[in-house]
Amino acid sequence: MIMANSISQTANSRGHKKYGYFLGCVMPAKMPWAEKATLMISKHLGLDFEEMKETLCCVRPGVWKAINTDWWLTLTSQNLANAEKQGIILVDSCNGCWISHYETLKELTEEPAKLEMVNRNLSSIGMHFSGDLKVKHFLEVLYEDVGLKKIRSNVVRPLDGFRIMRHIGCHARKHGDKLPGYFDEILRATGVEIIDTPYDKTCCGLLLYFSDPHTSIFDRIGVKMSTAKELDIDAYAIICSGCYDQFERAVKVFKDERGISFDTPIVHFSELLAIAFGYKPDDFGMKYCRPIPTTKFIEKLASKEGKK
Amino acid sequence: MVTETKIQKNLKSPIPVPGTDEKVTDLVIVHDPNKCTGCNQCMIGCAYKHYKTFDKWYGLLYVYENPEKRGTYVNANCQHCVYPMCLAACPKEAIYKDEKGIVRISPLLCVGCGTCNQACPIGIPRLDQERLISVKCDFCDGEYPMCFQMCSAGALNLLPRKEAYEYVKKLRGV
Amino acid sequence: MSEPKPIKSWVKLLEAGKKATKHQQSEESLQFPLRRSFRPAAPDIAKASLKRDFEVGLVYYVGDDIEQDRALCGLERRPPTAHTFKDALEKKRILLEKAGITTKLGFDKKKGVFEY
Repeated sequence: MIMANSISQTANSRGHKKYGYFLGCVMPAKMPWAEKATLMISKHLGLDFEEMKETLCCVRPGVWKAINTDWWLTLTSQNLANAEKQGIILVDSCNGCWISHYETLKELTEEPAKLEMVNRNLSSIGMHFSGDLKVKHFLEVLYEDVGLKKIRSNVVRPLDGFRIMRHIGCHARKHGDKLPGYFDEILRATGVEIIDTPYDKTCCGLLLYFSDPHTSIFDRIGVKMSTAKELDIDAYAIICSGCYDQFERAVKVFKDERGISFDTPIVHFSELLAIAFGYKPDDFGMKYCRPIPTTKFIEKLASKEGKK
Repeated sequence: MVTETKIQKNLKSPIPVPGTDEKVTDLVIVHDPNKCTGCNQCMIGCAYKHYKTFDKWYGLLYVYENPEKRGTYVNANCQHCVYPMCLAACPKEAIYKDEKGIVRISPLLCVGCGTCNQACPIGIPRLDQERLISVKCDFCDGEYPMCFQMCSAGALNLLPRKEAYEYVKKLRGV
Repeated sequence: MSEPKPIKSWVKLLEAGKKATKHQQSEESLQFPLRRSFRPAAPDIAKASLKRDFEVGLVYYVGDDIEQDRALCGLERRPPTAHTFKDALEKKRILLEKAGITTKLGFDKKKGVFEY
């Protein structure tokens, strides 16, 4: 509990009280299990954690930034102004949302002219953004604010014997090697064995899908999934919901166009954490709303429990 | 970390090259293959900026998968050289260096012969299928380059020439 | 080398984008082959998702089946996003109009189509 106290103290000193989790587009529609698992683990770790309300699309950087940078800043700042009004620390787990918020905030604080432009637009809807906000990635919250020690001490059901591959996504690599490191260490804390492959770094191809669907599906995600199939791993751990969208799409396309079916379940890393913390897969609905069933994974988990 | 510090976004006046009369752009785009994830966002951003399309092959820089090492990506982008081969090879003298040091192709003089493409060591100039002339990177007219803005993994860096040289030396382990 | 077979879902996305466009550029360029083709600010392929963005505020709808899945996972049936808070969506629409985005993209708000 000492850790939890220190968190609230530091949060108070910044003038913010709680974390507001930004859902984004894909998570509420396609990954309800991840949403539930994230809320569960954050509550378990004693964080003052809630879903942020009135959220809109983060304004995808891949499309909007190319179309017009000023529009991208304007539309993103609506979410930022909302977060500022709600008095929260904005937490993203989707890398696309994170980079959108992080970079907009950085640009607006560095360039007063842009902030003025944004506020001129925002005034038409009766909003104002002053830049008094903190944007964090969910990994940063877990690693820096909670700490690896506390996560390790909460693991009651280590997932040893599970071989996984992981994909963190491009945007998490943009501002330093910090986030990929956090991701690996938190995953290792759950006891899973991470398999390294040459394609770990490769993009999921979501950003490329509009432009070149063949490369995007077959050369980017296809190689990842076929490697997973070859190595016969238990799960593919991801964090970015944008990447999940592309994984799901690619699996469908592979089935339709080439008749190849992949059976490696794609799981959100918070699900692995929730299981390691002692929750059952049914607690967060692991088996629902999935194009690739997780039955094999759940069975392996059950047989492991049975052996004990 | 390059992206964390406040970077110079626009081209200023060109810098002289010691021992010559030539001048080059003060900034240069450098690619780090260790960071590139092959998302091709740079190409898409470039294509949109210049042609209003998301078709990546309209882009003026290129990212390919490294055939020798799968899972890594190599990039070819214009360096706006001191002695540009394209400029030297052009039979119509359509290629010139402007006041910021950017190597440009004049669309009025170019006949689309493709000599510049052959002469460039990394084949940057390409044929514009619609106008039937050669086109190449114009450093987004000396403003904040779109490819650098769009890069999703921080693999493209916008650096002053001297720092870029050190950076590449470090990358290659020289 | 033969052309690779187009991916069905991608073609569907492109057609949805074309369907949301009033003036078809590709048809006009067939009629006037020597005219330099005009490219609208929003490429056809992105139009379908941009339209959804303008209509819902987010890229994906939350329909009855998704609501059911959410309930099974132990969540509230509707997420606390613009799906529930229509006010935020209204604000976004005003913002889109005031900042001149819909005009420049040629989006007709009433009909829900892109002009060009």
